[in-house]
Amino acid sequence: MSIRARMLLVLVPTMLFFVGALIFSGFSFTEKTILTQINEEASELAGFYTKKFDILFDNSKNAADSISAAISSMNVISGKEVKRLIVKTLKNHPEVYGSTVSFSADATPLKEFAPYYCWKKKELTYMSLTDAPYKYQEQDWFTVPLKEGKGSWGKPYFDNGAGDILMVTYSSPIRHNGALIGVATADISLENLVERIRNLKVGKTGYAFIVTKASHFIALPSIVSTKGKFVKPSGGGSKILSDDTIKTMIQKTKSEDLKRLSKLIDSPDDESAKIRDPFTGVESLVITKKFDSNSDTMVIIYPRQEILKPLISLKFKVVIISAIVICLIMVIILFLSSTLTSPIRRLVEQADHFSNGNFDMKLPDDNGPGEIRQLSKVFNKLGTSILEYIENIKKTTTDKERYHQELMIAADIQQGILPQKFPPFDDLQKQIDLFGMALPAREVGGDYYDFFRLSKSRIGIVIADVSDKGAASALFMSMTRVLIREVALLGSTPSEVLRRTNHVLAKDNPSSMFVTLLYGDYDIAADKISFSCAGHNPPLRVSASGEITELPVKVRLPLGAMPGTRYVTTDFSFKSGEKILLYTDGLTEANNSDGEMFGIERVKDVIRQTSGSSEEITKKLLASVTDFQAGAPQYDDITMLMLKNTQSDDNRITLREDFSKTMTLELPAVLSVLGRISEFVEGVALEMGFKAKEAKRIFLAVDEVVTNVIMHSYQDNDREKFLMKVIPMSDRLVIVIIDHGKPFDFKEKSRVYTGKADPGQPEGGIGLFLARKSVDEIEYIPDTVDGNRVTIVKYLKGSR
Amino acid sequence: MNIVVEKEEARTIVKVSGCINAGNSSELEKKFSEVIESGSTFLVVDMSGLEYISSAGLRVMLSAYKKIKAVNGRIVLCALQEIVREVFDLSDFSSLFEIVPSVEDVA
Repeated sequence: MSIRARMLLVLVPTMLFFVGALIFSGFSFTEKTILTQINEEASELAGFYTKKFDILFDNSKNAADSISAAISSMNVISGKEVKRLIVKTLKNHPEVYGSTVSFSADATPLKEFAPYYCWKKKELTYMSLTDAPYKYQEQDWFTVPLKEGKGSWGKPYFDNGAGDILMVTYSSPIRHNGALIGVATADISLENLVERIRNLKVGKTGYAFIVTKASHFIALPSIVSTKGKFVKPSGGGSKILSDDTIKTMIQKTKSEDLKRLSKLIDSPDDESAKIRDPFTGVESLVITKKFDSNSDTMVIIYPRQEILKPLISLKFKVVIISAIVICLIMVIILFLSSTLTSPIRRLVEQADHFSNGNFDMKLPDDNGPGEIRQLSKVFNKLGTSILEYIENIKKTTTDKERYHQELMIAADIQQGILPQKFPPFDDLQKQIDLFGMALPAREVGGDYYDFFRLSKSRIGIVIADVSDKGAASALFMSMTRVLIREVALLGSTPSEVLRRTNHVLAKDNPSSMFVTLLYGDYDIAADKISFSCAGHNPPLRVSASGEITELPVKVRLPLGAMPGTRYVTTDFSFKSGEKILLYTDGLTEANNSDGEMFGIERVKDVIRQTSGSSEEITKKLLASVTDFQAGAPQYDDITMLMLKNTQSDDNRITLREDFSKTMTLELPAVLSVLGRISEFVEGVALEMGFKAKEAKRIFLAVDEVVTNVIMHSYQDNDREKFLMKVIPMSDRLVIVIIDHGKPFDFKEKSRVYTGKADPGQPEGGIGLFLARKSVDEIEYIPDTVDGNRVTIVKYLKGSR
Repeated sequence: MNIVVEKEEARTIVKVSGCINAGNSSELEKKFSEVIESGSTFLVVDMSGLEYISSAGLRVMLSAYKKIKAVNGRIVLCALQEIVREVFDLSDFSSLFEIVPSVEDVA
């Protein structure tokens, strides 16, 4: 759910609740306060008025009582004295309207004596009650106090004589000489007070009235209609004195509310209560207060509605305002939340982009307020950082990958360099069984094996171990390999091969790399192998009977270590059925996880236990080592070369090539050398035993080849040199012409000339034709490591 | 190589001795050209003293042959030594040239 909705969902009900509660409690409180206040006011009013009434009543009572008392204390009751007393009292009690002293007929010598004084039109007027149309002795005001022996208040009444003023009379019994002789009264007009009560306003429509002891209403603005309903008295205002008592009213109207009100009035305490005004039907509050002086009760009724009307309108206003405020707040919330939610939503979108790998989306700089803006900036930075990081990783990975790739390519190159074709020499397949295997520890290794053809019946074999591993040693290894081959193919002896190679390697070797190397020159025809050793472990020789020994080669310093090192060639017989194993120390020093080494003894064991070809034995050795290692990492390159002399009598190489008498001339590529070399070549041939004619023929071939070389490969350029090797052997003369010029198709050229002279035909090819015809063998090998080689062979008669 | 030119009335005798190889063959060629251009139509090559000839020499002979034939001349080779003769035979140049045992035998 969105923030906005959530905020609204939480805040609005909460606000509503609280505002509602506030309003409610506020209004309740206010209501209560107002009502309490009004109550108090009403109470005060009631108190005030009742007190006033009380004072009035008390005064009247006092007036009457004082008369009684005075008369009581008279020795002789004189009529004149009594009258005077009444007048005096009236004057002293201005609130008393009138007063009489009425004796019982037999009580005094005065007989029926009832003087009455009252204020008529502000003048004190005398009247005798004996003249009244009624009998004063029969009136309540006379009889009741005499009967009860104590003063009492009469019912309020309208005094016709006084002008229809509401009066109430207090009668005080007179005791004289222990006998009740008469009554003194005080009449008081309730006019003023009642008028005031009639005009009393509580609020606008609240009003007050009095309920007498006899349950008549004074100043009640309601009367009972003939229909039994409360109506307003005709003429407006309120009836000063109701005709009905409460009881009769209840009877007439059957009003429950009036019953309740009557109960309230009857209850002895001063009360305030909520009732329905029986007269108006309006929910009202009622205060009753008893007079102290008599048993009348003042009642104040005020309608709640009216009191609370302003409160209601206020309530209404407050609700409206609250509603407006809540709406405002909602709008603000909506606005605020959008200020927040939009930028937050953008942040969420951004994070989503991030999680999809899209790091180069950017947030705007002004995304949201304050902290959100900061967060957005941080997000942008994060995106940039991640991009950079990814680039770095990519680059590193690319670099690493590229490096790895290059190593793989280097490994491929290395693999390509190591002779892989087995059997390597097609024409020697029966005579030798040769197999090599290299297992580098890393992508590129530092070990290598090599073999190459030195001549028809001689091969060179190499095993080497470069110090270090990896790319650097691979480079060094390549150099070594090239040098060894170069020097070996020049015809050098093994020790010379090593010496010359070492000279080059040791001279410019700033990183002091070196390589241990074992070089063997195997003369198949002679059943002989000559070794020279530069710091390498000696080879193993297995005799035909299975005996395994180390060949005692003379070990000298590794190649590259010290310039000027001299090496030693040692010859060993290598007969049919025998095997030789060249290996690097990676084989014998292979570790298992216990740190144990494979060792030379295990190698010997495997060889002893394995029969079969060189390939089978080397593969078995590798399998044994791998098993032995059993998952432990291979630390060193493992390289092996196994050679077996498989000559038998029916395939024996008998060709004996003796290169020891090789003479090498380096000649400028100019035709003028022809003269000189003719002497030399013919001289050597004659010395060997060739006849003069043969010698010349030999030279013819040489001449034609050399001419060809000079003319075609070098264009008669004395700055160029070519080599001529003259190799007298026991049974033949071998002359090798080596040039480094442009190769050409010798074979083709030598067959251009058809052998039939034709002046019309092109002249080319005659020379090589002649050369071909003049000697036993001409072999042309262009593009060898040394260059283009032409080998001319002429056999001594009888040896072919 | 040594070249001696003996101009006779009807013929010119060119005596070549020593070795003809690619290095000196052009010298011989020049000589032959001279001789032929000077008007000689009958060329007798005395090879009694020639000990060696290579294909370069053969080419020179061939070129002389062509030149003389172009002027309707005649070329005779005399007194070829064994080795030289072998070369001519091997290359079948013998079939091209008149070869006689000695100068005296030149008809």
